[in-house]
Amino acid sequence: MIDSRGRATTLVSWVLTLLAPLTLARAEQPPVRELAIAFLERSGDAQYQTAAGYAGLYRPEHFSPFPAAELAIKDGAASARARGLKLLLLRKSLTAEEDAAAALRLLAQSNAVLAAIIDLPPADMVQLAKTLAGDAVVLFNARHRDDDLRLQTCRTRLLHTLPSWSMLHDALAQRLLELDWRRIFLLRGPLAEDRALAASFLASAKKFGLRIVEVRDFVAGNDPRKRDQINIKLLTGGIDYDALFVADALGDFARTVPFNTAKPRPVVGSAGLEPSPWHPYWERHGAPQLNRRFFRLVGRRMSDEDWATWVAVRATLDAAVAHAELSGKALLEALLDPELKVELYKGAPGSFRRWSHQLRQPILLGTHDAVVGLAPVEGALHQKNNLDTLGVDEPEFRCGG
Amino acid sequence: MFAALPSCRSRLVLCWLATLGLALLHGEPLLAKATGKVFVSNEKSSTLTILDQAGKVLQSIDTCARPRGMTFNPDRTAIYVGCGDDNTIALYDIATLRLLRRYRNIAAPETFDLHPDGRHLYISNEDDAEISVLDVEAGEIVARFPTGPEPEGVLISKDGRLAFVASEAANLVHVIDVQQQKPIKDIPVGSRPRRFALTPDNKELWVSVELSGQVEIIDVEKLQAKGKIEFQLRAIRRELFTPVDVIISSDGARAYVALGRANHVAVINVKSREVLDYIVVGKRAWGLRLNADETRLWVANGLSDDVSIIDTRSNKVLLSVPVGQVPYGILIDDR
Repeated sequence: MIDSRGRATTLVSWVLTLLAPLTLARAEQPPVRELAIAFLERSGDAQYQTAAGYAGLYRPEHFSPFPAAELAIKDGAASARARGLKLLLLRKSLTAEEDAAAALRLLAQSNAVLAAIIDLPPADMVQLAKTLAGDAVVLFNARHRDDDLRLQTCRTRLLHTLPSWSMLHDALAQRLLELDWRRIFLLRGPLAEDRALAASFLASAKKFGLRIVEVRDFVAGNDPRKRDQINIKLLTGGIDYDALFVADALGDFARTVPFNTAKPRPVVGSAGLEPSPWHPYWERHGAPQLNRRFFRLVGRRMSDEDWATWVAVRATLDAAVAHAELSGKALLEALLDPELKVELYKGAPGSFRRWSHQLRQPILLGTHDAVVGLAPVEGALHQKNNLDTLGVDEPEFRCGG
Repeated sequence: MFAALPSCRSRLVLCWLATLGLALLHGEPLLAKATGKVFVSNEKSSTLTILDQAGKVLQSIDTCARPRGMTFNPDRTAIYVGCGDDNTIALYDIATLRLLRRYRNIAAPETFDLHPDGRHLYISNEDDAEISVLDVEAGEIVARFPTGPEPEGVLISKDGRLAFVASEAANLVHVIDVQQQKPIKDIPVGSRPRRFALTPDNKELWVSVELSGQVEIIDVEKLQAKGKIEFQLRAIRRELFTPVDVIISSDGARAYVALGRANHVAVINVKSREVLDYIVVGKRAWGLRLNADETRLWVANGLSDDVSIIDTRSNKVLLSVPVGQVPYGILIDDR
């Protein structure tokens, strides 16, 4: 993308995606204002690289959620038009060395971009959010679940549409409590990410009164000297429990745990019953329509990140129409208004927590082919909004880390 | 107009005779004799449940896939049923329950309304962001109008002049001028507009707005929103008020709103817009229908697979009757 001529070429390389509005004949049209949203990514992002492998090798696939932003623009076109807005989506692929903040500032100046979906690794995202904290543009994270990221960016203009791990694990803990499966056996992997998942679930278990009967560590591989940490039957033997939580960020070990345990017990967490913001088989609250629209446009199932990207665009549009003034400042205010009601296709309307900038939302509890539960579960009550039983509530949130 | 008869509180046959008499006086077409049957479309089990007026299940028949919207043909001898998953609208004979006709290749029909000309069915195609107009005699789609995503409720004014369409995902009410065959206005409303009811004087259009938990009132002459009704009940969270169906009594005095996940039906004084009562029904109340003399309100409860029958004088549920899976809409052949 970049060459010796530098910036000029980069400018040309900006991909402008402008979806033609539906050709509706309209008698009365209010004056049109443009609402420009950027999608910022970096070419060569490891997240979307196809790992080398041979047939039959398991590897989780990740796809850029950009098409979800395109769908949201298309879905929002009629609504925007009726409210005197025209939606624009600009895709900006940074080169390996390019400065994200400078690129976004340039976009804000030249194309009046008011909001941007940031599809970058966590460290880049934090840095970008901090650099642009005093700017006008509103940023969205539709990619990372880490609670730390929320703590580090709570004073910036970064909003999170993907739920945090604490929300996901609180949802799972609520579901286990609802089922009365209170004795939990926890199996965790060796990676820092595995440990973080385990710690997050332990906090949720404590919050909702589940009992952890045992924590054991697994390793991946075939080394016979470590077979008591590899062989699932040995790993899960000698104790009794109601459900087994597996903390495995890569998921390659976790997927082999169900139907391999010493006792016939359900598996939750990184395999079996998993908490998620979205599901291809979610059948209520209009969800099949969104899933179908996405499949028809993109030709694959809508992932969690796709959904969170779609919601970021939708929330921006909803917030923009709520305010007469179209500016970054007014947009952030409208987004953080507790009365904002974003359609999430999960029954409850979405709004953002002022303290963490996290989107409030119900969480789905699903297996590979069905949604079997929804959190907050019945009876999970909060003094203000039941959705705040999921994740870090205002009094507990320590902004700044 | 028939429903406005003051004498229709007596027995059905008398009511029907009176209606017929009035119809003759006004030169209206003769209606088929009402069977008194109640039809419930069950979205998930792909069946129609047929009940009598007392709530006794008479029969259940298999239909095309995912039946939702239903409406009578002009002489009330048959009903149109929209089958979203079969891209079909089916016409069933009321007396025999036989399938009379099948209109195919109608993309994911959800709800529809028949124009007073008796010939043009305005259908919302939820997956295609489109309204299509089916000529039911020729069996052809004669017009299409783009809408916002997920069009849902369709209502044609009684004078046949305007068609209203709710776009759930665009938070708009589209207004189509039927004569000109042209969309004339998009009216912004709250989050997830669903269904409509018109006051008998055609001056107010009531729109249920599901996610905002409100009913919005649109001035039909100016085609702009002019008021809102909110719902409030102790021990029920605001976000659970998710209104879907809304109907207004023929004298224009009362409105009924199915409150979705709040599991209640609201009774509203139309003039003062005050909520008079909340009636507890089954889970996720959405489809509503009044019988001809308006003494009974039928409620389809989408998540408890039953219908509730309400006495509109006492505002109490008389009976809950199990039907098929995910009951959606109700029709009553009693006028």
